[in-house]
Amino acid sequence: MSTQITPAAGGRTPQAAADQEEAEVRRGHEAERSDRTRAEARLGWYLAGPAFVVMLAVTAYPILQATFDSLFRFKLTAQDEREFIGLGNYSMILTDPVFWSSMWVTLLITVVTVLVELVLGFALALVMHRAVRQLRGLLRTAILVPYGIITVVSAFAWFYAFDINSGFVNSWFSWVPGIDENLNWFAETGPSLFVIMASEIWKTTPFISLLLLAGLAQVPGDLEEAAEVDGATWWQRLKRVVIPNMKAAIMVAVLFRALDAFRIFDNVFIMTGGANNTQVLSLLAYDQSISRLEIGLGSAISVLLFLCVLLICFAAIKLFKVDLAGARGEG
Amino acid sequence: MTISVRPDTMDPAAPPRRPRRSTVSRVIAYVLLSLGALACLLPFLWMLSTSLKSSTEIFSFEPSLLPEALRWENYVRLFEALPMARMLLNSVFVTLTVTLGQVTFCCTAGYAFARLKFPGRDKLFVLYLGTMMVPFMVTLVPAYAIIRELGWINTYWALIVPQFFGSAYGTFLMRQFFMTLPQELEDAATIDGCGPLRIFWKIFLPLTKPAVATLAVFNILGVWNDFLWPLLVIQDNDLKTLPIGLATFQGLYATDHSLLMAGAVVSLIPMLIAFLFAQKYFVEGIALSGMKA
Repeated sequence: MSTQITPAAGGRTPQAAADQEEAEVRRGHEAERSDRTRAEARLGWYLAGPAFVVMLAVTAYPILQATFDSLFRFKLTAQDEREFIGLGNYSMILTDPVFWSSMWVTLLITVVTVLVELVLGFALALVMHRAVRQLRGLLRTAILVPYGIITVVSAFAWFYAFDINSGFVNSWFSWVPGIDENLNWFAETGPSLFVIMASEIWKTTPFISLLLLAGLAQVPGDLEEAAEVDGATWWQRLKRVVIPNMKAAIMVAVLFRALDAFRIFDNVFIMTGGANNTQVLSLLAYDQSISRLEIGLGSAISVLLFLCVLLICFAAIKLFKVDLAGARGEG
Repeated sequence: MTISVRPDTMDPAAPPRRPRRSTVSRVIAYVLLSLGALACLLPFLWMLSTSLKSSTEIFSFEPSLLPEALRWENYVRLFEALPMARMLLNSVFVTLTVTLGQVTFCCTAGYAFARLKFPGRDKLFVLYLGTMMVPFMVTLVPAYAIIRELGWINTYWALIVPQFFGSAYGTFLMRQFFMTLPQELEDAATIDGCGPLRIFWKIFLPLTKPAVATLAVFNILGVWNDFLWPLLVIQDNDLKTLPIGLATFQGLYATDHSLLMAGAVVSLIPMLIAFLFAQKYFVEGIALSGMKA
């Protein structure tokens, strides 16, 4: 464009005069357009500005501060003894078996809950999708009930339900092998983790099934019908038509839930407090920073937690080849 | 023009036509449905029944789902033993204020990221999206330090301000929604002399009701549920929200399960009202958030 707007050097011929006139008109249009562009850019910044400021204040600054703190031996109760120790905190954490055990427990909880929720949530979504119209509203609300209960409170409820003294589980499910009235669920790692995961699954499956229901609604109905006419079985239709068409919805659901599950805190905090090898990363960071006021050590654990989350996202995005920031959902 | 097909009369949530659905699959679907609903509701029914039992009944050896007698007085005791009314008021106030801010700022930022051109837009958006991945634990201590510096410990400010100005999740949701709206709408309005701000206000915003309902419900749930942050910044009993109120009073009434379960039921009621209010927009809203295959 810019090459066309040549400096108008004293045009004498009629042709040149016309050219000049045209150039001037064009310049006028362009000025108007760039005015509008500038106004749009300004408006864009005004509207996106709060987001930017929040990002700086609520996320960017705290991350930098946490990374900085993680390089010090720093206890809030002994502020004068603050000492720079480089990566000392990290080497201490990475050689500590407690960190690795919480890492594995966190990973186990993440993988198991997300997989189970995906299967259950998908089944629920399919059923909701096909339910008759009159029931649909009622169903959605019923399914959302667990999601509406405060996590801390639901953690207490599950804790009581499995409690050896007041719980109903031991007496109602005594027909299941391995369960009798003397089973103390919270005395050992396996059973404790089972209750924690069951409660987490109960609480968040509604969320994943709603996301999947939205995905199901976008599978073209005629495609499925065509497959049915061609004699495809229910399972073949599901595998070859429905699932490939909602890959992006599944990916978003899995990613959101995996990130959330990896940060699990409330359920473990209430039910076991990390006893019997049920410690998870968030609780470990909380114990160090808040309970023991070891800011340096706690910050280092938090930074490691962040790195793990980044790794999960990176893996998920590579695996599913979906571009979250991409335009118009061309996933 | 008058004979044109009107696609807007089609319900986007309607299931695809299924001409030959066999009775067997229908029965299976309903059995699954009933089991699923039961599994979803059983722990909740147990909460409800516990909230109506006496404490001797709770610790009996043969727990039954149905209470011997409906002891509604447990609910009266709940409001007497704990400052329930105050906690409810705090929770409702904080939740509504934060949601109002979130909806406003997520809508404007989402619109800017989706429809306006400004330098650095895409880089900023990717960065902003990245903040979704930051665990809360990382920012906890520094954020607490900021709030303490501002003298906001034990105030509503500490509960409201950090979340008021939008979130990455909400902005992402609104941006995806704004991107699905047709460009022709914007072009037509521009030709008619509408500026971007008026296009946003008069044309796009009225079309975003489903997305706003979705965002609002997710937000209301999230804020209602918040535990760790209020636990840190609020010690004053008068400012406690339901989650920390119920959890801390749990320490005082450890053996009184019926009180806490009554609290659980009471705390669910506002959420059910929010669901019922928003649920007809809700699923369509998620469907439109751009998660297309």
